[in-house]
Amino acid sequence: MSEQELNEYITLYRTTVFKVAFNYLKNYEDAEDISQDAFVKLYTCEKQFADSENVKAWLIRVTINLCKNLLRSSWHKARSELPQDIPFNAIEENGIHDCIQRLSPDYSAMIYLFYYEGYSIKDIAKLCGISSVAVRTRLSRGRAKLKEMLEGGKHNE
Amino acid sequence: MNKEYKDYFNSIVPATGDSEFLDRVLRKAEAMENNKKRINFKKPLIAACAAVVALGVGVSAAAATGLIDFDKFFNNIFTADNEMGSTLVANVDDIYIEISDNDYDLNLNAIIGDGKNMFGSFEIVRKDGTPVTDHLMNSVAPTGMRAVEEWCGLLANNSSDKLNKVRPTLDSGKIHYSINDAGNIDVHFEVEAVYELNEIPVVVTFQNLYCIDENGSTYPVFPVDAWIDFTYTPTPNAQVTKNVVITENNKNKLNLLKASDGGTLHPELIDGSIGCMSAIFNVQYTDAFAAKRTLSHREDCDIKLIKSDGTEIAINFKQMTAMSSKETNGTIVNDMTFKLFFMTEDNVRTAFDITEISAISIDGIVFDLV
Repeated sequence: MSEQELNEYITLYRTTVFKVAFNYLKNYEDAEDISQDAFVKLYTCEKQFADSENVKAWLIRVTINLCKNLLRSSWHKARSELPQDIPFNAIEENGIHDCIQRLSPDYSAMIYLFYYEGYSIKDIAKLCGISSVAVRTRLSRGRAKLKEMLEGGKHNE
Repeated sequence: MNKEYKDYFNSIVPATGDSEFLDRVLRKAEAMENNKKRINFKKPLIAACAAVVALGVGVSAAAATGLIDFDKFFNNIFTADNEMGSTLVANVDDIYIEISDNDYDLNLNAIIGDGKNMFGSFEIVRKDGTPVTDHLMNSVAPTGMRAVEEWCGLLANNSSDKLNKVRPTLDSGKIHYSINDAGNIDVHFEVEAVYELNEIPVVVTFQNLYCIDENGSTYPVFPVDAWIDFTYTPTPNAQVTKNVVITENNKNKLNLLKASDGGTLHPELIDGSIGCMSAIFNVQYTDAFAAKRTLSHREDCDIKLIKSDGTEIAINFKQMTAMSSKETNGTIVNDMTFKLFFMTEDNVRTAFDITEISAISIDGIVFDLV
């Protein structure tokens, strides 16, 4: 892959990759690192992609795998799980931001891919390497969890 | 989409510009390429190993010994209705269990293996604690189940999304069912793929289980359908070589196995620490012994790892592959390679230093490792 092609893909998909990583890792710095690693893999892989959408899906898939690897690492587990560098003026307790941050990575990633990116259940299953049943269940649980957190806090839907 | 959620996701943007990002990616790629050229595949032996890896998380300290607390390893796992507790799983993620009858549950005991071979063990139980055998469909079903069919393990192929059904048959060695002492169903399965199983979703389903009695009559047994979904990620192997030593004492004792130079013990590297969960033994011998033997699926084979202080570590769950032979320069040289996947007998992760393993005992025959 040429640098120009890489640059084009970065322009197209970097933000998506970053958002996926952030949904998993809840941390800007880690999300940035993982984003870089995902594009390094794109740049250095020899895979031929059918079209641009394939590249996007591949990037998301790689990003998810990288995030999971990081989450599994003992080094990562030894760190604090609370994000410290969220560029918001204030994190409203039980606000949307706080609640999604508190969701497990699997749930928040599902919600992001389904509602924000607009992927179908089947596509999400392929991206995440899980069954469609698992996707549906995680979406359902994620929504239920969010609802529970929001209703239990100061923020009203 | 709800505006507030949309606003939230819209707000998640990278802090740096694209040109700076591109520059970092290119530098990382270059560094990676330079690093590849320097890699020494002969990694030094690092102390502490774990017999079974949970989720690829490393052992905490280089010289750690004793039991390891599992609770912290299960943060990213969820199951349908049960807790994993202290069950042992290895190199898996996204474990999802769905069962059609809420009175039942599946306890995942272990999943271990290398890139193309996977072995798993789990137990079908009832949530109320009563034996599964008390609730089998047929009230006169024999206590000794001999065969259960219609189980299939599905592997999703990354490139084409085709599902490759692994449909084991009785006595193929691919699957083994039994009733354990608690009256529950133990299931051991094996998956052998022609491609790497790295991060490929694996789905195991149960349906229409039945058993066959001594007279050949079949009984529908288990009315429950179940689905286990997980992603398997084998950890990379560290390169460690130990040679098996021939002695007059051991070379004639076992007519299936004779040792020569070339035995290797392959620990698995987990996040910087060594976890030993597979061993590859290569043995060669020359003599008149020409018959081929197969050590496939020798679950009854008694194997122990022996430490230099004489302590034996019993192997509990294990599988082995077969033996082959070849001719070299007119001399029959029999090669045997077997892979051993194992857990310790007490089903806990006991860290031990692999450098301390000085011998292996197979069916009572001791082979020194150097």
